[in-house]
Amino acid sequence: MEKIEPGKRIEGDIKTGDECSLILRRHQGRGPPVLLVHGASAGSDTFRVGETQCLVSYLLSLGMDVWTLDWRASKNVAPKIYCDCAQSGRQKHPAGVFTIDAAADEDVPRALRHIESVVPGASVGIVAHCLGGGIVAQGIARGRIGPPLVKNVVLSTLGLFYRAAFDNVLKSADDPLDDLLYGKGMQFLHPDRVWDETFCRTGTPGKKGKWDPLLEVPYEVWWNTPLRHRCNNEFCWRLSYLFGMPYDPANIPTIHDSELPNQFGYIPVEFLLHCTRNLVRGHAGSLNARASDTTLLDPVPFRDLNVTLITGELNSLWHRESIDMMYEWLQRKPALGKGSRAKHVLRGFGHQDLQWGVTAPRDVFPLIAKGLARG
Amino acid sequence: MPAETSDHSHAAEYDAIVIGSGFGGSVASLRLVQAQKKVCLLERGRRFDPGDFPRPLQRPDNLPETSRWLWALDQGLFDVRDLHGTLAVQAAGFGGGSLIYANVHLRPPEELFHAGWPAGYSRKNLEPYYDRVANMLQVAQFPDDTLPKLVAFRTAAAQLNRGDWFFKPQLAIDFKKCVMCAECIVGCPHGAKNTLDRTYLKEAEDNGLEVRTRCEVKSIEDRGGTYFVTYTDHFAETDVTETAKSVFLCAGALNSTELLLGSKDALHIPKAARDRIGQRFFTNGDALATVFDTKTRAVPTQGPTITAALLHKCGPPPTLSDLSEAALPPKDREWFLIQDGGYPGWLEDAIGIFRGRFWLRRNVVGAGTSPKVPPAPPSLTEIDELLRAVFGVLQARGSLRVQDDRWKTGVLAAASPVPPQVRELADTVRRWLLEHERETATALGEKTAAEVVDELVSNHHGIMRCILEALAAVAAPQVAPLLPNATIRTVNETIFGPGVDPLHPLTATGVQQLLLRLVAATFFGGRPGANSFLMLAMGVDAAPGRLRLDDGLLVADWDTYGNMPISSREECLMQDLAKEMGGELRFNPQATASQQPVSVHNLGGCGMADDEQHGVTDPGGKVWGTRALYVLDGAALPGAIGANPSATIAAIAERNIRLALSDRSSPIYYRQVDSSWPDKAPTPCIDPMPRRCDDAPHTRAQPAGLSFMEIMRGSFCPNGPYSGVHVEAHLTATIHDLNRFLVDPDREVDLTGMLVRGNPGAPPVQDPVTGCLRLLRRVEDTGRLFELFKMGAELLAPKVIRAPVPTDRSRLAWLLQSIEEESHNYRMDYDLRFTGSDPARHLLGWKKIDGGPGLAAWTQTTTLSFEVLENGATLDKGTLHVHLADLLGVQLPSFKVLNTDEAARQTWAFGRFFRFFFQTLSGVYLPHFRFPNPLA
Repeated sequence: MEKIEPGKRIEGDIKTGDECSLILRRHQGRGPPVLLVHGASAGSDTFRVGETQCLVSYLLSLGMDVWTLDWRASKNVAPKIYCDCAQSGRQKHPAGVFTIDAAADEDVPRALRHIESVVPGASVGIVAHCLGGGIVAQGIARGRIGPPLVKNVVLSTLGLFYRAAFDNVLKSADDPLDDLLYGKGMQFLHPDRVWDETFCRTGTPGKKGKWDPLLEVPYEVWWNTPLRHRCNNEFCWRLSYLFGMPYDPANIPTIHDSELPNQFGYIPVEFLLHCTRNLVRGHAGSLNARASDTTLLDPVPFRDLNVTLITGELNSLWHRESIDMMYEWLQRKPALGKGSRAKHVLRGFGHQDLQWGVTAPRDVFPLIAKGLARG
Repeated sequence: MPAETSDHSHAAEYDAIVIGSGFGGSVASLRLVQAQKKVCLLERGRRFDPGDFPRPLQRPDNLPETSRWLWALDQGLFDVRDLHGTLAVQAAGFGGGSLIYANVHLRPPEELFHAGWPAGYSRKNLEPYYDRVANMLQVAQFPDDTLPKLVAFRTAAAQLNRGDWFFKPQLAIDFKKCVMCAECIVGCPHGAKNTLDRTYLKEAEDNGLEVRTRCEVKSIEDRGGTYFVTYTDHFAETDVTETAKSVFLCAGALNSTELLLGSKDALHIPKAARDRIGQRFFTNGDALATVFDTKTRAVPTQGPTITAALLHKCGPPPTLSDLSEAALPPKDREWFLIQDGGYPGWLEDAIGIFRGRFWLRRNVVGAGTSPKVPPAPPSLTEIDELLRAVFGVLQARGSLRVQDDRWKTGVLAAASPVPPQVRELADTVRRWLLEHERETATALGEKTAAEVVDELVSNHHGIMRCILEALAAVAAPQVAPLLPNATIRTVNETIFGPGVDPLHPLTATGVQQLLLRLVAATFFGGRPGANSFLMLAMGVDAAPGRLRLDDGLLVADWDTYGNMPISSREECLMQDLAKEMGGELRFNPQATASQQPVSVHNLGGCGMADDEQHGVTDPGGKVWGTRALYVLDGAALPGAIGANPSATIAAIAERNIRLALSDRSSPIYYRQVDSSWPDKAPTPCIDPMPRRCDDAPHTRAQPAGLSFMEIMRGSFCPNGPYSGVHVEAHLTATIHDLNRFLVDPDREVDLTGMLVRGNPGAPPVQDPVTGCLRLLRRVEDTGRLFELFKMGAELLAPKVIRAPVPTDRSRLAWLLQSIEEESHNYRMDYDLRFTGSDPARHLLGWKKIDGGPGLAAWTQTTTLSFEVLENGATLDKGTLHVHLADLLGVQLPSFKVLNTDEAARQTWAFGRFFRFFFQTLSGVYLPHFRFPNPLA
């Protein structure tokens, strides 16, 4: 397993318009800059670990100037953002802070502006994974991200269309997160830890423990199904119950056994709730938008972007349909300007193993690199 | 939701909107953009690259991504539609049917175009268009003559002396890329099929075609010469309207017809043509069968789906003029094809369904096959895992939704989303089970299934008893043959393993396992393996159907009986082939056992004709009365064509788009269409189908027939030469082809036997006779009809009120029903020739079946009035009667089904005959009684 040290943290971090502190790091290379955007509940660490080689080191080996962003749904910054909000008295419940809308409007654009200031005149490539892809695609749709600063975008597993296995769809439709957030005031979920408000005072994560019965009872029923991986790793089970199986364990043997708790942490319930609402309506929309609201499905902002879409054929977190739909939608005439589109559905891969898998450096990373080198 | 409508004040946005991207739509799209037109193609399905076609799940912990499979789920590849009369399977996707068709390009025989087609259609005239399509799709014959299934097929054909009718059709496959995986029908993952999205449509897109996939057209409206096409964009599930100067309807026979039926009032179509929409719908004689356990390996999982075809012809093919809605196709006009089939290895379990025990051999047809006991059902680990996963998710959901443990165990958790009444009932059942589980399991452990059922039913009352009786009625016929004399304990041990807790079936896991085992044992007959052979048949349907909207839903009125003659001939040739291959023949159970044809070649519904009285479109495909609304797909075909229809649909589209573009009155007129447009003349392509060959041999297998004896006794009239002489008729009636008999308006039955005359004490005189009986031939009683019409006219006249008219329906409906009931008159006509008589003698007899009270039914059906004619002149008359003792003692026991030794098939044939017989009589004597349909 390769696990590399974090890149140099931008001093003072970066602050968004709504005063969220995000961590931007740089692994300086001589080549063109590329910004890596992780998924929710994970952090930028995602890109610094791999069974044989991690994405950061792969891109560095190509000479790229690699930047990683811990955005607001990162396990590394989300609890702190919440605590800052709570302590500053701005909002008891940070309604609207942990949404895809806010992340799309603020986080990546803010990071891009910083990179532009450091490397003026350069075109910044973006590689965005999972919900990172969701916020980048939404940022493009809202006109916050795009040419001339950004020309090449690689969206891994998710864009504007949300498609998941039917168990996740059912769970979403049953709205347990609404009850957790608005009924019980639960702000964060963690695969194996409870949320404790004292976190903001002590800075210590909650203790290991079970979830609220609203999730714990069905989890116990689900545990008896073949959907549970036949390992002895409770973290793996709970992770895959929360999100859907996020990898093919056979592709990440070492990481599965030893690294998972380091890679996944607290996810804001509000953010997860926004995901489930997008899942129910099938496409991206504002947190409280109605299903018929298709404001974000405007293809014009994508016209001149080179978009590469990547997913795993076995992806049972975001089904490949999410990428299939995005690709097909981008082929529509209004979406097709000077930009180009490419889609890769990789056999034998699931979701997270696209970044971590044993053969990812051979099968996946070259496609990412190719996507960053278009146009 | 309201449609987002384009600005109406502007001119149409597009020159043309093409709806559908199958063979018609692809051709139209390319030619339109080549003619510099601004074209938008609306396709309801999605794009499929080679790696995008749906495949089975690969891991049990990976819930299947089902959306790409079925159109109904999420715009997936296969659209399976139950049209009530037929079951249609069609593709939805960019490239239409080409994505999943078997790549066959055949041209129907010249004679097919001789009648019923509009002026200008002939094989010769269409040849250049066929060639153009063949060039575009780069067709070629399968190059490898050693492929096992091809060898098996060819050998069987040769052994049946049919080698001259065996040929290899042209296939639109790039054989350099083909890996022989037999996955053509589920989308080629290797890009070896020359599908439309890679040929016509690619070129069209390169030339500026604007494509919108996942856009399902809902309606078309003509507003002042501009067409408004409203569709649902499934990306966002919003309704959008676009405008065009012309519309090309190419959505496939079903969808085009459905759209036209739904939009006809907004399109200024003349009434005559409007009334024709949906008529003349065909399934192209499709049939499917599998031969299991062949002597040699045919390996259907290897090669392209279809590689060869066997033509059966007897005279020229039936033409449309032979196929008036009620006519019987002539006996001397048979034309159909049998082709080899193939399927991917992962579909083998599904093919095993053909011999699943569920059908109890109802899909075995005729003699010549020897049904074998299916092997043990497969373990189906993947499905087991999948079901467990699905159950688990539903259970978990139940727990999620209802925060108590009422729903936590058993499959009843899955009932949480159902209405409260059902939930309450399920809860009652569950509570009862919990209360009685130990007691029941212990008490019933050693009883047989029948005893258990009896006890359960007799111990309960009310709704529980109803439920148990219904369950017993449904389950017993399926379960009894599998586990004869089994006790609960042995059943448990058979299903779950030795020593299982008797309560296990009542647990959630037990219920899941039980369901799976039951499904596996009932439906799956085991993988066919390499020693099997799949056959597809297609031909010219004998009786066209009709598509119509029933409360907004497309349904097909399909005459199953009317089409039996052609399907039974196809079945006979398949039986011959199966016998030569030494295997057991099983037909597609849905089509054969359930009497609902399954078609992948739906055609017609908006047929072309020379005038609006006979068709929906003109010979160029333009809908009568419209400015520029065209139908250029299979819907426009005026009849079935017998062969695989793709090439013909595309060739006719090539012809008609050319006509549309060169029509000066059309809004899409393009002046540069000449003989050299759009490119040089196509290279002629060889059609390998035998064209003017001799008739093929008759099939060895024969369709099921029926025979019975009839004894009648009576005497001659007092005044003739045989005055008062006693006479008896001992006749054997034979129906050689029951299917044909049932659709024959004359209902002809062959008769042979003996007339015996003589008085008691005198030696009898025996006259051998032969001839025919027309059994229950319908007779129109014009006198009664006239009376009824007269009464109807009075009834409908103003100021006339008649009390008996029911008030709950319209008078006209009442009148029509009266006419229908009163016009049921039938005859049974006997025409017997005395074979040893000189001079020539005939007996002409008749039974009049014209209704009446009391014993009229018995009297009329058993009394034969007859005349004996000599050289055409009446010699004597008399009356014969069927005696009750003869009916019960001789006639009924003598009924036997011919040409099959299959018990199930015999039952089926008896059922069909007696249903016909008693249903006809009930129409006369019990006009208000409706027989249940035993085939439904």
